[in-house]
Amino acid sequence: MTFGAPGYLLAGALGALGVVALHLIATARARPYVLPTMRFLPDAEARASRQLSRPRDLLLLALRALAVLALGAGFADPRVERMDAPERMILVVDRSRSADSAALRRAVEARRAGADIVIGFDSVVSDSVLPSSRAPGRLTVGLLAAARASDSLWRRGERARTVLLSAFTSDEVDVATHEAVDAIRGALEFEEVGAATAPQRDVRWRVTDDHPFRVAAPVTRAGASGGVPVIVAERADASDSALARGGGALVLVPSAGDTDDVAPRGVAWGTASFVAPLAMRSVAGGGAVARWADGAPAIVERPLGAGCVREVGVAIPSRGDVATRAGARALARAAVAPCGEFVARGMPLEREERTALLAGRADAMLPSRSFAAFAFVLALAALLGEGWLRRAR
Amino acid sequence: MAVGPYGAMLDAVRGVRWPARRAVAGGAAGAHIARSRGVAVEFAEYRPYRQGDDPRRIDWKLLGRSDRAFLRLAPDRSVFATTVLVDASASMVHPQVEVGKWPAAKRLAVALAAVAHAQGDPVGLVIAVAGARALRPRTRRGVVAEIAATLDAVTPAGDQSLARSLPEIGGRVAVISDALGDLDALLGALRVHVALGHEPWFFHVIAREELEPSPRDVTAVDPEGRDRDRPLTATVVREYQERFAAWRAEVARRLRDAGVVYVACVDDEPTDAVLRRALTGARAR
Repeated sequence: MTFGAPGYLLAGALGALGVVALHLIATARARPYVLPTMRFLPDAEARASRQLSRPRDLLLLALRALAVLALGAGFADPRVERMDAPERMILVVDRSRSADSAALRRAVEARRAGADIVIGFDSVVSDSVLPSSRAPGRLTVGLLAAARASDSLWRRGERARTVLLSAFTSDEVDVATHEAVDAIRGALEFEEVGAATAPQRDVRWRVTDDHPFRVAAPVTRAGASGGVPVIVAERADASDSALARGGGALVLVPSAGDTDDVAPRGVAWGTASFVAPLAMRSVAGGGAVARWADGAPAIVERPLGAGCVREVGVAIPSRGDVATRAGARALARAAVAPCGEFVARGMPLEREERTALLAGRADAMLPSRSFAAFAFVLALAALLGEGWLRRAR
Repeated sequence: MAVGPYGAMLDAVRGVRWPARRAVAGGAAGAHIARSRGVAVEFAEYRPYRQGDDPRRIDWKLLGRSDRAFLRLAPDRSVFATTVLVDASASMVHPQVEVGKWPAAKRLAVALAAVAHAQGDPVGLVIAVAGARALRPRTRRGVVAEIAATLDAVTPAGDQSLARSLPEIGGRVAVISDALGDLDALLGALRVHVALGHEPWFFHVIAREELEPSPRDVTAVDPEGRDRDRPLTATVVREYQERFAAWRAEVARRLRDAGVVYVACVDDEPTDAVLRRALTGARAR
C-alpha cells in the first residue's frame, strides 16, 4: 500500500495518540440530573469521580481514536497496487522516411497480432501504420501519443506495455523526446528497424548553364542510372508534370534575371540557414520545407501523383558571388533533392544513445486503487457510533 | 371553541359531572343542591300556604295585596363557583417543560374548568407564578379556551407561595400542585377555606420519573437549589422510593384531616381517567 499524502497519516496517528492520552488522564464527573424530589434521597457521597476504565468507556475511546485515525488515513489517500491488473500492449510505429519500408512491414506484421492499441506516426500521428510515408519523423510525436494511450489504460486500472518500432535516426530526436519518454506509464521497449537510405537522384536541368541554382549545385546524375528523376525548370510543361506524377520531383526555380529587389535576407531549413542578398518570390500552397526569417514560406513542396512539385521562392542573384557561397550551395543541393528529402536524413542512433533516452525512467508502476473513500466512511461510522454511545450513557 | 391541543381530552371528559360535596349557598340556578331556605335570592314559584309550613316563608306583600297566604319558593339547585389554582413553581418542570408534571397539570386544570363550565358553574383560574395570572370566575362562553391559552403562555419558574395565591372568593378551589412547596402554609390557608364552608380540592401531580427513577451514573440536583446534589445509585433509589412514598402518604393524611379532598395522579395517567376516578363518589351532604 502506498499513500498519496503520507503527512496526513502521521497527523491522524498523532491525533489518535492525543485522544488516548486525554482519555487516560481524564476523570469524569457524573452528569447532573435535575430531580425536584431529591430531598428524599438519603445523604451520600455527593461527588463521585471515576477513571474512565469501564468497558463502555474503553469502547468510546476506541471509536474516537478510530475516527481520528481513519480521517487522517482518508486524507493521506491510501492506494493499493493491483497485482492482477491486465496488461495491454501499445504498438507505436514510426512510418516516416527514416525506416526501411520492407523492414518496417516485417516488424509490424510480427508485432501487430499481440497489440491492443496501434499508433502510426511520422511528423504527425496518423491513422495508418503502413505503407511508410516520405515525411520526416519525430519520435516525440509518437511517444506523446503512446503516453496518452498508456495513461488512459492506467486510469482504467490496466497495465500498459509500449513497443516503439523505429529506425531511431538522429534527425527524429528533439529536445522534448526525453520528457516524452518519461511521460509514458508502464513498461517501454525500443525495437530498432533498419534505416532507409536516401534515394539516388537523377537531376535533369532545364535551365541555362549560368542559372544561379545550376552554378550553386552542379549536380546531374548521382550514382548509377535509375535514380529518382528531379527536373529543375523555371516553368513546367506537360511532360515535366507527367514525370513528377510518376514519382519524380519537379523543382520550379525563379528566373535567372528576375532579381530586381535583391536585399539582405535570411532563409532557414532543417538545422541549416543562409543569409545573403537575395530576392523574394511568392510561392503557392504546400508544406513549407524552408522559411524566410520572418517565417514566410520560402520553399514549399506539395504532392503530385506519386511525386511532388517543389516551388522555390528564393532568387539567387546572377551577378556577384552569392551563388558560389557555401550557404547557396547547400540551399541549391537541398532544393534539387528527391521528394521528401529536402531536409537531410539523420544517421541511426548508436545503441548507447538509444539507451540514454530511457535513462532515469521510473520503474514500471502498477495501477492502483484508492481507498480514501472507504477510510472516510469508516471515520463517519466511528463518529456516529461514538455519538450514539455517548448519548446512551 | 378553540382549545388548541386539548380538544381530544375535552371530548373524553364530556359528560363527567362534578357535584358539590355539600349543599351550596343559594344563588343562580345551577346544578348543585342548594341549602338556602327562607327569603330566596331568586324567585321560582308560589305555593298556597298549608298547615305546617314555616310562616316565615309567607310572602307578606302578596298577602296584603290578595288577602291570601302564599309561600315564595326558591330554586333548590344553584351554581357553585370554581377556581382552579395551578402551581407554576420550578419543581413542576420535570422531566422537561413539554413533558411531565407541567403539561399534566395544565390538562387537569383545563379539564376541571371544562367540567365545571359544562354544569353552568362560574370558573376561574389563578396561576402561582411571579407576576401571577388570574381570571375571575365567569360563566360566559370561551372561558375554558381563555383558561387554556393563559396556561400555555406560562413557563414554570421560581417558588411562588400557593398559600398567598389562594383566591379570597368562596366556592370551590382546586389546587393542582406537586406539594413540594410550603405545604404547612398551604394547609393553614386551606383550613380557613374549609372553616368558611368552601370546598378545597388538592390534585397532587407526581412525575413517573419521580416515582421510579432509574439508577444511573448521574448526580441528582434540586432545580430550586442547585447547590445540593446526590448520586443516584441503586441503593439510593430504593431508600428514596420508601421515603417518597411515606411523604406522599403523610401529605394525603394531613390534607384529608384538614377537610381537603385529596387526589393523587401520575403525569402519564390519562386526564379523563383521573377525573372520573376523582369526581365520581363525591356527593352533596
